[in-house]
Amino acid sequence: MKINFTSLSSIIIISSLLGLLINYINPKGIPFIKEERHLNFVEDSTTSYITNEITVNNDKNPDEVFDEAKAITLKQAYSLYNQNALFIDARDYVEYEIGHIKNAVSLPFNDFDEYKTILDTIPKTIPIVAYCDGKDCDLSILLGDKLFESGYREVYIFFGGWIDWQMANYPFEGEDE
Amino acid sequence: MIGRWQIILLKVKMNNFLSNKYLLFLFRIILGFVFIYAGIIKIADPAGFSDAINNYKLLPLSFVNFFAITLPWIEVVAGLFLLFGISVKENSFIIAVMLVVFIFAIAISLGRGLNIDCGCFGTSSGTKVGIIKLIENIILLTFALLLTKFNSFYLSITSHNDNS
Repeated sequence: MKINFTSLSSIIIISSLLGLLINYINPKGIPFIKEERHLNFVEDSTTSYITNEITVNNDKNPDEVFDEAKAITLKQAYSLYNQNALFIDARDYVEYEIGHIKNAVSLPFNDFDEYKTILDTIPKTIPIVAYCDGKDCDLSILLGDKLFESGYREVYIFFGGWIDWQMANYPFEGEDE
Repeated sequence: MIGRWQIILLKVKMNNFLSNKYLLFLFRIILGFVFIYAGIIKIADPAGFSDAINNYKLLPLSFVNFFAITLPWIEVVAGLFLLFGISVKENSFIIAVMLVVFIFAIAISLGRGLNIDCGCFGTSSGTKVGIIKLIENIILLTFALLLTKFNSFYLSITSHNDNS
């Protein structure tokens, strides 16, 4: 008995239509065309951010800082590091143990629910930098967005991540030392 | 010449073993449940699955959501049909094609060294793409291809005959 391609196509078409229909009426449904997550970099051109310096301003109104998590470059990340911003490692704990940015805290995005209690100890006003491996990994963005949703007002995404940090030979700790 | 006969005999034995209706039934049930489960989990979190597909960086952004919306339903429907023994050949073929796509996606990501969530059973399970995922998919693909080749009527609700 040969494969019946008519019934094969009907199965595919009917299930696809079913999916589209249910997605349409589902409140959790997604748009037909995915919207790109535009990473907005913290601007260097504005006076306060000149020469890649970001100044952590401690007495600002927490509501007017950011409207979303913002991306930063390696230099900006280093500048924040020197101003004692809290770095959060979005990778798996094993990778964190092997090596991470000095003083970074581990919060694996893939096990967010398991590890999120750590956030109870971190005040919402503190500047936070989320990072993961590097440009090929999205965990830093996902974690950054999630932290922003959880109420952190000043969230940075260090997209260059662990790879860039290591290459620049900035302070790190872990088994690699 | 003896060698050739032995090979033919071995092939016949192998075919007989693989076309055993209970074995095929077992494959059918396993594939059915795996795909129903995988599909339902993805349907429950469309946004998560859409991100998971996007992480593979294999599809243009405008196609990502179309697959995120339709693929889980094809999985569930094909899985249900397999479970009940409806159009087993066709549904195993659909599943085999999906598995081939998954295997390629995982293999390419491994080759590119992407450290991403597999998205195979939703995003919260946290399984990463890796060799084990690849092997799992290849085993499932073997089941699907055997079912496409031999069909399985055992305990099927459309019950043609019970001999096959």
